[in-house]
Amino acid sequence: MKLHWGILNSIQVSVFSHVSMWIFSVMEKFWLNHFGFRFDPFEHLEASADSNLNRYLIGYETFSIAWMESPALLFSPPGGGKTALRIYTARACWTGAGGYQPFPIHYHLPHYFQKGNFSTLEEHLEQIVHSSVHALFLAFAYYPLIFLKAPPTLQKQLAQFIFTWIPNIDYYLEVLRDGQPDRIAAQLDRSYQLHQTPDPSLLSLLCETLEKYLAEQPSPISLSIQKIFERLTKWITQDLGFRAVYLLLDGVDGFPELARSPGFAAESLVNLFANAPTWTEERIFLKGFLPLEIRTHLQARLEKQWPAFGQVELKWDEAMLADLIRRRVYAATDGEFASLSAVSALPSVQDLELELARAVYPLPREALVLVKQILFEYEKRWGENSNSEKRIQVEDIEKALAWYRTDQAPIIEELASIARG
Amino acid sequence: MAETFISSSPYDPKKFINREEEIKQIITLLRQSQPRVRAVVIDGDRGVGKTWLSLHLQRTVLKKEITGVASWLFSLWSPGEHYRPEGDKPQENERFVREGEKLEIDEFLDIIIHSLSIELPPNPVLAEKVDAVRRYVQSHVDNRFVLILDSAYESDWSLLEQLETHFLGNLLTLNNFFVLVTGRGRPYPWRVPYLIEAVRFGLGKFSVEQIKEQLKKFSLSASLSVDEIYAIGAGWPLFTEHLARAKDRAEALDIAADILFAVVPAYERAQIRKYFEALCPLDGFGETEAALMVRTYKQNGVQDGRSLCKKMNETRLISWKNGRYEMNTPVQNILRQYLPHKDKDAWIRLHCAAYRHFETQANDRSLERFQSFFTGLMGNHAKALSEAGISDPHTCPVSNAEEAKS
Repeated sequence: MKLHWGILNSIQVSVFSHVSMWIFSVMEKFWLNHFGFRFDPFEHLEASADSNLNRYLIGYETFSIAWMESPALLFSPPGGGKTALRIYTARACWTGAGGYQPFPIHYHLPHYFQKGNFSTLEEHLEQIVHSSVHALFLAFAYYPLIFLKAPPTLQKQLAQFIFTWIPNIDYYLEVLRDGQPDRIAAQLDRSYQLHQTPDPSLLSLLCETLEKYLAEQPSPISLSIQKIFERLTKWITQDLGFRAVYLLLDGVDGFPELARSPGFAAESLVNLFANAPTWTEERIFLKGFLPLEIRTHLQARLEKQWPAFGQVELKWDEAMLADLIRRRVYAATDGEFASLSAVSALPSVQDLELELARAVYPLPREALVLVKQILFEYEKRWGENSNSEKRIQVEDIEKALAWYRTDQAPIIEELASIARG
Repeated sequence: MAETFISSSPYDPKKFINREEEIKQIITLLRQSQPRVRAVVIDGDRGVGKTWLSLHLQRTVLKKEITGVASWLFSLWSPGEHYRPEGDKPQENERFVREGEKLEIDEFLDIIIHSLSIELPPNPVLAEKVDAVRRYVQSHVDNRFVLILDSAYESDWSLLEQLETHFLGNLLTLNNFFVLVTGRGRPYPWRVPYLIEAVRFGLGKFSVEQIKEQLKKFSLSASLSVDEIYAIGAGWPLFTEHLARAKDRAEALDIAADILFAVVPAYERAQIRKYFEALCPLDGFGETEAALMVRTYKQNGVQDGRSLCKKMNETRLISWKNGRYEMNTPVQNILRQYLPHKDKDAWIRLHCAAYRHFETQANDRSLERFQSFFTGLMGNHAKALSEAGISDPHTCPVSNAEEAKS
């Protein structure tokens, strides 16, 4: 299990600092134009940065567990799509500009871990409230009408709550005036980035209203964290008209102390998850996006509550990975085609995606890394000879596969090691 | 290639046939008190009757068979300049996008807002309009609100993107708001969970009996037999009326081919039709085959396979299936009857070129594992050639360009 943290590091090192990838990232991406792609669907290995993520969902059954109104546990190994599914779930809550949807709150354990060991529920709630304030502020920033429709008394309470919990709020309000909530989300928590811009006139009105409340003397708040959490969720589900609160917990495997010991990680989470079934009455649903290794440890500690959780393990096979690539191609070409073989010199009968899926360790990130390398090889070859045919050639694929087998070998070995337990 | 356009009849409830099962499913859904799924997607090829079904739901079913329903029909893609399935008189709560027109989300919302007599604040922005509709729907819990988006997949996807981002995702969270989407070809990759989990069904083609009934309801006495009409139109109701008016099979095939391409803008219709004719002998194709077959058909030099595929793709008469582009069934069915009749030499040339192309691939050692697949394709083309009187596919003429190349 010690390998766990190592693998995260090595994946990052391998992916982001690999020279060819760096060159690729600064290349012009002629292939986008050559192949008629509207955007690069393989660009982002980090899900929150991908504005099109919700166009290529694979495995609706898995998503339906995350989406349903019950506490849920979603397990996967690193690189298995936990974060992508969490971001997907959060964005699904916001399709339709804040209708009667669930309200998503991200809770990143490692992000807050330094501040405590989370042996009590209160320590978790402290951090959840903190993230909730980010969630609320950004919800108002992206959809000002949610705030502006609220009665003035509620507006004032919400504003003062935000000011209390977000230091330097006047700085963020200034940034918000530029009309780009994405910039604020990037600083507070990238998971909240929705990659869209609000209506300028409503945003301006929001800023004015918040600034008005900021100038007023704040009412002192002296409530327990439990009461603050209750008040906050009541605002969301009753006063602001959201259907539910979805607490989306992730990042358990992103912090060394937790990653090294799944037992310790389970212990850190047990008080939080033990409360999840009782929260359902308040329409608060905790969704844990957790590493696979934690499952048995958590189950042992939550015997009584265990049946209350919807559960699923994110599993990937060749067919799903091939589909993952196809869906991305389809979305990026507005459905013109759904396979890279459409723009390759391979015969149309050859299932290129399936062959690529068979060549990689069966995790989404691995499939994306290989496809990026194929496009890099194409770009490199075309850059050397711009008269060459604008099609992916067999040699591009072969070079990328050779690179994957050698440069990615240590990563694959570590992933396999984790899978073997 | 002279085009003969006789307008198809506009929707008439008295002429509407079949689709009882689909209509029953939709009514059942609308009558549920807490329906979990509130979106229906109806998929079907050109001519199968999606727009007629949409009109039938909007003008007849939702008005007569179920009470307390407000509905709107937006047909988002024009079936060509010669066909107005909605008739000449505009009707309330309907908007049919004509060729070259672009429907904006504001106009879309204004139609809905106007029909519900919703009052708005002065100079409302988009979010306020959506919010006003939402509040109206939310406050009329005993009513059902149904939005029909006809020909959505064929339409401008940027409008669909705006609709789902600003409107559908919001309204579909309400228990009394429903969306029916029809489309053909490439499905739109929805982001809204309610549309991802929509009830889906495909519209099937008509049987010979239903074609008979169609002829009766349209009061048509055809020169062709019902079986001949069925063989040409393959049970797609759009063609029945026209085929029944044809003097003979030759004219019927001409007319059917013209109808197929009526959806293509007039300025490029003849050219794009040629691409389809060139590729109709193949079950599926990629850029290489597109370039080869069009070159063979037109006999005039190098073709760019990618731009050919792109042009054909824009018509939504082909789609990416089974790892290759495939023509919609009625298009392929009609052209495969039309072309050998209209230009037998070209038909033979195309099959010869296809045979030799797949023979080369079958003999390519790097593609050895696909050999049986290519051999199968060679067999299909050899059979077609044999039916056209060519016993040896190696001896038949191919295009000049092909000859020169070989």
